[in-house]
Amino acid sequence: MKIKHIFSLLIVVAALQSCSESLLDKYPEKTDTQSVSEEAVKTKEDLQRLLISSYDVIANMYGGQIQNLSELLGDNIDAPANQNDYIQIYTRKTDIFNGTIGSVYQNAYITIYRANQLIFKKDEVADISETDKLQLEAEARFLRALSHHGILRLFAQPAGYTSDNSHLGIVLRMEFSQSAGQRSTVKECYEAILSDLDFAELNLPESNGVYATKWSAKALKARVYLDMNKYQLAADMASDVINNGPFSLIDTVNRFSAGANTEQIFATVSYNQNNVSDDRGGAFLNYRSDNNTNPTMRANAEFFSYATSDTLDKRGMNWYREIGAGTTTVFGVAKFDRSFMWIPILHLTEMKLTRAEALASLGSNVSTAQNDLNDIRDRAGLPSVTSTGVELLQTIRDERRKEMCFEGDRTTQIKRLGALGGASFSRNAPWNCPGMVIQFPGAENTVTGFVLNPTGGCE
Amino acid sequence: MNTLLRFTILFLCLLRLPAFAQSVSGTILDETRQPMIGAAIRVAGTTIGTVTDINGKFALSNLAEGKTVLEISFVGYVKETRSVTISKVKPVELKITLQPNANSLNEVVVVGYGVQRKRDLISSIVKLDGKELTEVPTPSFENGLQGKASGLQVITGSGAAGSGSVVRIRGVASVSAGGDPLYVVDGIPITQDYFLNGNTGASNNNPLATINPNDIESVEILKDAAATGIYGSRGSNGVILITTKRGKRKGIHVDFSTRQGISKPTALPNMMNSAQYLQMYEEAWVNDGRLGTPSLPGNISLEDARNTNTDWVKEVIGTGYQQNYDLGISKGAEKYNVYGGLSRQNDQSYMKGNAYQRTAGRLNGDYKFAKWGKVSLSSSLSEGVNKRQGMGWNGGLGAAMSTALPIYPIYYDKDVFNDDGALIHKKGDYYLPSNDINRNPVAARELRDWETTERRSINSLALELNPIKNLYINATASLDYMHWEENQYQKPGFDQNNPTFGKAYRGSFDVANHNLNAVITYIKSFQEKHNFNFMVGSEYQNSDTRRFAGTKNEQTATGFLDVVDATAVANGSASFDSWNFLSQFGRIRYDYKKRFFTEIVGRRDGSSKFGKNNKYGFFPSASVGYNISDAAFLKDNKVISFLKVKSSIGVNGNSNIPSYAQYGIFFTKPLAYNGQTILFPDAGNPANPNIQWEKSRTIDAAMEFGLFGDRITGEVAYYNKRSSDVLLNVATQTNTGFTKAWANVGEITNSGVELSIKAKVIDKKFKWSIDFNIARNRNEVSSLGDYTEEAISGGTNDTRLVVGRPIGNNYLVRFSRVDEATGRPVYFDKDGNETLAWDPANRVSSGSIMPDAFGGLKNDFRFGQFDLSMFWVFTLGGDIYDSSSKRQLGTYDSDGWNHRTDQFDRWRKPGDMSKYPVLTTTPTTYGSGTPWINTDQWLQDGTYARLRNLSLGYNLPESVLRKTKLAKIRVAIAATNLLTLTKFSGLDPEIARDFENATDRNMSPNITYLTAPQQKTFTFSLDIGF
Repeated sequence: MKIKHIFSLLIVVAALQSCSESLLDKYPEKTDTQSVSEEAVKTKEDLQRLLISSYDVIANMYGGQIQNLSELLGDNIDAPANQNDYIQIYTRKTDIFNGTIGSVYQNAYITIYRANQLIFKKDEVADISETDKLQLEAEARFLRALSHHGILRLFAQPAGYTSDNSHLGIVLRMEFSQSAGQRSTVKECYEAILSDLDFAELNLPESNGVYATKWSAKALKARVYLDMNKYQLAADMASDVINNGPFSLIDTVNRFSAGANTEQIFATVSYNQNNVSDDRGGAFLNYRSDNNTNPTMRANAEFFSYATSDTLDKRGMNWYREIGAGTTTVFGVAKFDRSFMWIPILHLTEMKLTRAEALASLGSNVSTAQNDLNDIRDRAGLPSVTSTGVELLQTIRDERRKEMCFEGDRTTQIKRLGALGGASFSRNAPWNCPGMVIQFPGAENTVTGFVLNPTGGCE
Repeated sequence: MNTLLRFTILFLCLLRLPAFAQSVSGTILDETRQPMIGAAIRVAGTTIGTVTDINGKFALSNLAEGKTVLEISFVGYVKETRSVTISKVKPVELKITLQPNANSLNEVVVVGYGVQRKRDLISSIVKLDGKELTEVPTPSFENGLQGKASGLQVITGSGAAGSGSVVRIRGVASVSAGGDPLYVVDGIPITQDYFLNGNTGASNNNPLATINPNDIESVEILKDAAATGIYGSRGSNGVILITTKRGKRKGIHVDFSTRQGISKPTALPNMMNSAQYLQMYEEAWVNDGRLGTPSLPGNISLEDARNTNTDWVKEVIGTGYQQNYDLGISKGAEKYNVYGGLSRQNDQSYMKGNAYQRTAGRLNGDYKFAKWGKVSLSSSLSEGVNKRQGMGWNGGLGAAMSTALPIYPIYYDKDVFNDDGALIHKKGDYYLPSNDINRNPVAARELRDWETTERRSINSLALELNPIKNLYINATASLDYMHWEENQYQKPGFDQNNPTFGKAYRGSFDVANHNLNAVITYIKSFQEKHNFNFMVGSEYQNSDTRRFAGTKNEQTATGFLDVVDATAVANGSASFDSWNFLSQFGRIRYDYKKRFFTEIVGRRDGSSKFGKNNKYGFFPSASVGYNISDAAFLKDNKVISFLKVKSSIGVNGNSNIPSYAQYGIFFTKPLAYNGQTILFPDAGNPANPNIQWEKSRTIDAAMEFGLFGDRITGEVAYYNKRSSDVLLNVATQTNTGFTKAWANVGEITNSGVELSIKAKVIDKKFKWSIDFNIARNRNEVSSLGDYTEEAISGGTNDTRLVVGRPIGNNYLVRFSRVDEATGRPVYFDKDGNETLAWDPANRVSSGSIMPDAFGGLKNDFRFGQFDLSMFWVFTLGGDIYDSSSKRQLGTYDSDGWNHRTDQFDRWRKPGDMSKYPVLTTTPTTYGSGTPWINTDQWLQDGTYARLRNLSLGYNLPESVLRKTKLAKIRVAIAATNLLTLTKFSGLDPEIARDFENATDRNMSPNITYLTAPQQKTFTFSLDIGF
């Protein structure tokens, strides 16, 4: 054993060290389904795939998830069966641990994050035209507005709760960043949502397959304006969609169909072809009573008798199912009794009812309001009305409740009417009691300064 | 071999000549009164000497007349000196017993990349003999460390076979990066990830279970920065060094041992029977003002329920049976030595169908090929087969304590027809309430085959060269390979959604862990006073993990899947993960006359795990020590025989994070929406190019002492460890679009004191020795950056990090009392005012997962051939959160849990003073919108003392052995966990539930959730040596 042996050993050690740089670079395996973020978005096709991933999440969020949260606070449904998270919402004592709320909320912000990422990344991609960029951004901003608005309706007191809407709204995510988020005021929230919709309206195409169009943005604007009790703007926007859009009412009462129909302005898609089954009926299936004797979601007795009191009403006759007898009777809902539904998130019926209510409230162009109302009544098998004033307004609101039941609309209307100044209750709880606002998931409170909603307080 | 043996014996017998005049002869025995072979006897001051033969005999003749001093020595034993008077007339006959020098300061202790004499150690290292690990039957070797070293906390997981333990050295210094020590076997940092298989079936895979405790020669526990500094970015939670057996002793030695035992649970749950359950359920129903016949969980009719009374606990547990066989053969010679070991263990726990079977083999050898060189091989191959059953929340005993109600029968006792008259259930079919297999643990057990198999081989080849005087070069190449697979076959009927289908699942992973290191050591003394030891080294480690998971869900599945099953592969998923470490390190040690010591250590670690902005870290440490007892003023002190003070400071790290935390990941999913492909970021994994190791700075001061000629020895130590840049897997705000992120945030302080004492109380014919240790650790989260207490949670367990409080305190709404007027539970709000509403906004930090103190106490008695050992472990303070109580003692839900009879103490009428509130079926009675609510009502004092082991052994006397030609026969009986003293009202105060991830494991070790109690075992053992 000589010194040279030691030298050779030292050389081995030195050689080991010299290749150190490459040894310390380890990347996740790149596969057909996985890539490192820096490498992931390089082409126009990548951007489009990223966009569709936002539609994918919207389809989950609006596939009954967010609508059910809203209905659980409202007065159409009975205490849910065997779903503790739902029961908690129904009792209006939501807390930070409610996983069902957490996942709906998360879907909204995942959509928003992906939309923001798309808007950010589009400028890094070479092979895309300015027009295409604008359309991608417009679609992304429409989805961002739809997500923000869905959350705003449930996690904050409504517009009008304070006179200047300075009360706390939700966290707005208008940029591609991961910094901590704090709640904006309701005023700021509406401004942000409307600015996204203005951009979308301007830059979206008239038609776009199953994805968002100019009409989608206008219809959502009409909804947002009605939420704010801005009747003229709501009526104008709804009119634009009704008069100029390519939509028409379908003949049958139920617009929740398996596939496209002429009433859908923006709908999410269930897909069932080429051996791929992708049913996006989602949380609406909690209502299904054709194959389940104990559905989680069902109508309450009061609403059932209200909705079925007129035997001419095709909706009342077709959308409910009494299960069991006597004191244990359950009022099942048949509106969603099908597989592979397309969910009409924005539809012509809503536009007509919105315009009718807005015009009737304004007291102008009452005949248009009557016609819109009668289109809906006619389809339901009910006689036309000729009333005006408060009576007309009440009929419109009744029709809206019966027509759009379980679609996640009712609670917003209770709050909106409350904010107008009238007495407005949901199952004996006043429209503005703290428990009518859903609690944020606990993860929101992981950074200092975040303000949670109060728990309960509706007893 | 046989011929050689016989020849040797014959030769040695020839040496046993009759005692001549001027001679001395005798027998040398070890502490168990066994003859010692090869003990050296030397006449002091001369070269005259001999060694003992196979019967421990020796003879010396032709000695000079007069007084002579004999020195008797044996490696690892205290040297004995005897003064004898040699005369022509009368030969001297001696019988001398040597004592092992367990306390000996000359004992060699393994340190990182080297060895040191215990006397010269200035770092905090506890050495345990391998024997200490095997004297208590344990599910896995690390469990045998419990109570043996001060500051080492070992919490046994559960009574499941092969169950792992939570091991903590000097508190918890980490949160999301693993808090367990680094395990190093024969110099190789081994694969030790508890979450390779996640949290499957309410049980985490224990990667240490395949390590054969009988292979272990010694275990060193490295506690302070001076000791762990050499392990750099991986040493911050301490290091456990395992050294396996080698053929040390000259000649051929064979040891065989077997242990046979039975086991029972340490406690049984007091679940209600059918009549009790129904009575309570009906009371709840009436209390709620509900009318009519109560609708029962699982839609069983009241009449059927009344006619049924199933004791599910009895159905799932029985008597466990443990068997262990171990054979070790060693041979030592001048140029080479070998050790071969073979062992088989079958541990059937008391849970029916649950067993862990380990088969292990080992071959270690050293060959000195030249004066200047040696090669060494260490190689092991083992297989652990875990026959699994559901447990905890996953069924089995867990189901018997929860969803399996006494009102459900096991089987239908008659044919059942539907309204149309069609037969839907035959008599004898399993009764599955709500089609849920987990409500019938007997059906679940009988309809599912489930096992995991781990094959592991740890190998190293080392070269040691001594080319020139005082220069040593060591190079080691090693491979730790682990193949693990899980197979599950669900027979038709298990999955009620597809009752005619059989379903097979297979998951596997292969982990290859390569390690190369080279170390150069140079020793130099000047003037025999100044002694230097220089060491430099370099190390490369690579770990590759490949996973596969696949299912086959069709009628054709009839058993476990073959890995090449085409359907399973097509439906399956595979993934690959890899990381590297590249390190350089060095150590300079200096001592002055072996009296004053100092040492400086540095290690630079580069890792592929760290973000591109932080590839390398540097970890220095320094220590000093002084042997005061060598100083003149203490030299001949009658009381103090040894005294040393030592102190160190250093920085360590923890790099136990996922391989790719620095990168964000995008997934592509075809046919995802509208038949189109989507591309999206992984919500659990935002990129963090700044991610790096966490740092911990430790200061340590200790004093070692020996009193009355080392009859009492001990050590007191103080340490302060401050972790910064703590690795946290934080819950990000949902509005960021992500769920979790890795970040270096926050600071944690651990400080504590430790005391260990060994004493020979009586050291006569009757011997009594005591070994006691106790440690107290104070733990505090001192910063969380901008995060709140919601940011880090221990999974489903309501444990949180709160600044100013220990890691993982329970974060709960406080329960005040049961309202005498209404029977409703009353809580405290955040300010301490009573309220009927259970509101999470009122949660406060309450309770601590960390005990105030813990330790062990061992008493050993020896008289003649008998020895008796009594080993206690204890934990003082700290809390246990009995998480399943919230349902077992809570509302009577429609989805149904069985309740405990404790709940009889409930409110029934105004004025009742009761422990538990009015019975109800609705959570609103308890002020909540949801039935499963955590409050501090389920938090209990976790103090306990447990008689961990009681054993009585008998060593056959030499006179009997002589006839058998055996060197040793020992029989013993032992009982583990025989007695537990505690006020805890749940099952077992020493418990750790299944964990979701490392964060949960660090933050929630005080939580039980339907966790199976420990095994209480009674064993008989036999050891033979020849």
